[in-house]
Amino acid sequence: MSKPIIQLQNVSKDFGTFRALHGITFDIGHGEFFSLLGASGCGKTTLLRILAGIEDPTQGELLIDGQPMKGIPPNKRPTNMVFQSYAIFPHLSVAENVGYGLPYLNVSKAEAKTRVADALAMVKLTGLDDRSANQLSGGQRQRVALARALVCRPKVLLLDEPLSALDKKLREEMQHELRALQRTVGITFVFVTHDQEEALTLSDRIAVMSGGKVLQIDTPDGLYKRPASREVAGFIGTMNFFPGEVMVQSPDGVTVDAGPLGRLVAIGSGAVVGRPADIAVRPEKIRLEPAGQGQLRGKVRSIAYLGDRSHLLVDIDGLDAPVTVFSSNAEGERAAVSVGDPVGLSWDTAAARLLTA
Amino acid sequence: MSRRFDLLTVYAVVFVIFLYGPMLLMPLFSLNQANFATFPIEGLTLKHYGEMAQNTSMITALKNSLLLGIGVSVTATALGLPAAMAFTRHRVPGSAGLLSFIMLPLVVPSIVLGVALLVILLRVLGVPLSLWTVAAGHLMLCIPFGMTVLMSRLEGFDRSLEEASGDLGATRWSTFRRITLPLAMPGVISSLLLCFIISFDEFVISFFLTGTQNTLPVFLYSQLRFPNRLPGTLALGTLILLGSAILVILAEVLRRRGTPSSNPGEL
Repeated sequence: MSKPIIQLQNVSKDFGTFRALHGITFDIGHGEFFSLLGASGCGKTTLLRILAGIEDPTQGELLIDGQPMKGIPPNKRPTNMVFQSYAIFPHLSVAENVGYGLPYLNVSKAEAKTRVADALAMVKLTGLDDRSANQLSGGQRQRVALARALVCRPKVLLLDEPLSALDKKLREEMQHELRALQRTVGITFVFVTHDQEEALTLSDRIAVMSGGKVLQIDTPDGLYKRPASREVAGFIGTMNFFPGEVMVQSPDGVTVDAGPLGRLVAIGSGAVVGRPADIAVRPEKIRLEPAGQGQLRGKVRSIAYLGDRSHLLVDIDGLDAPVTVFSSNAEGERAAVSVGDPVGLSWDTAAARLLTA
Repeated sequence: MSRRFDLLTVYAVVFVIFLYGPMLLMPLFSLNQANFATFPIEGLTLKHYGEMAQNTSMITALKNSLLLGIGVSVTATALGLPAAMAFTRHRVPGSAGLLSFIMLPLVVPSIVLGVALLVILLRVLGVPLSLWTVAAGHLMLCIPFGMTVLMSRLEGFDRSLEEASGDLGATRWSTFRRITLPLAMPGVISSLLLCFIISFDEFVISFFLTGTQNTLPVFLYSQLRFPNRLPGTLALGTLILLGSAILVILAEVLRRRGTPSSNPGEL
């Protein structure tokens, strides 16, 4: 990888006595679509505002394109931001909003005009130049905010939950457009979201945050298949957990004593014999077996039909929470079970992950 | 149902007459031929308006008051805006205490202010009384009013607008000029009008601090001793009433046509 565009080194942020960020260290590469994912209050927006220069880190160092950003105000940084509220200037027209930042870039009047027109075309708002910002719909306001930031040609575009105010259909549409736009312009996007599905759909890499710390940074696929902790596993997609105690470690896997569930085998590192650990299995990796077979025995509590698949909740003796199973409804694969039926559950050892944190 | 409505209508009509009736008597008597403000009206005339125009000391007092009002409203708003921004935008240490300190003139009786200022100006500072000392007193009274209006306007708009401006390359000054000021404009206009009105009809502080140059309220008070000058005073009062009505209507029209709400189209 070439030199990263953003380097965060041990960045912390305190608000009074509250520590919002704890020693954040990671890099973001050129042209990456990078997401900061976490529940509200996890520090993701604070981190984004530190990148923009709106907040200063209490400790640590931030470099953008190799330049230290300490003491550099937002207006001097090679970043632009799309705000959660869009922050469209209500007293200006669409074109005036989009061209707002150009006078500060020493762009000629003629070039500014072309750039605004290009930016409006890019976000499909051509012809709305003279429209007042008040007459725009939510989706249009979002596009104006995007165009206004991109017209300045930043090295990094920062997006603070830009899709959260849109309805579901528009949001999905904008997700695809955003991804296509990022590929076209080739600028690094740093995207803040609390929606794990959105993060998985859009990102090259995701940093999962919680309590002011980064829990794990990986590709969407990596996070989904190899979560490093119980918290990440629970946050990304649906996950079934079977708590137990590590018994034996072998090259084939780790054997865990899961109490009333018996012995279960999983793949994973960091196991210490005698210490508690969780075995995590994704719902789509679990197969329904005839009653009396498989690793676990249970009873179907409920079935939700979703067309191509069904989601089943299966009660297991000795386990508080029911196990979620995604069962395909494709031709020939559909399981003939109904609520109340006793069933068996099984999975491949390779699909079971051992989580010690 | 309709009976209730009727009672309410009667109440509303009485209420409006109670509020505006006395005010409407003024234009009426100003047109009266007699020199006394009593019924019956003896006949209509504009002669009092002519007398008023001839009364140079009254015209001078009016000029003084207009000048004072304009100067005080502009200065109070210019001083109030940065202060209002500081209180709404930044964490000012001890802001609660500081703010109530600034707002004190709102609750202190003006007679106390007037006497205190008089003592300070004459005895402590040794400043001779003039329109300037009146202006200083009015400024003290107007700043908290102006700040209240401006703060409520500034609190109402999204902080991220200013952040976005900075993020797009604007300096703080540029952000103020291109974003904050235009959006605060309705508040600025309200503050100007409010401060002007307060200064224009302020009597107590002016009475204490005025030198040889009278303000209009002080002048009018001095004229009450001469009954035959009353109709001229009424004529002037009528013109002021007309002027302020036009001003208020204008301000309202401007406000309605002017800047839209701070978060338009917010879903």
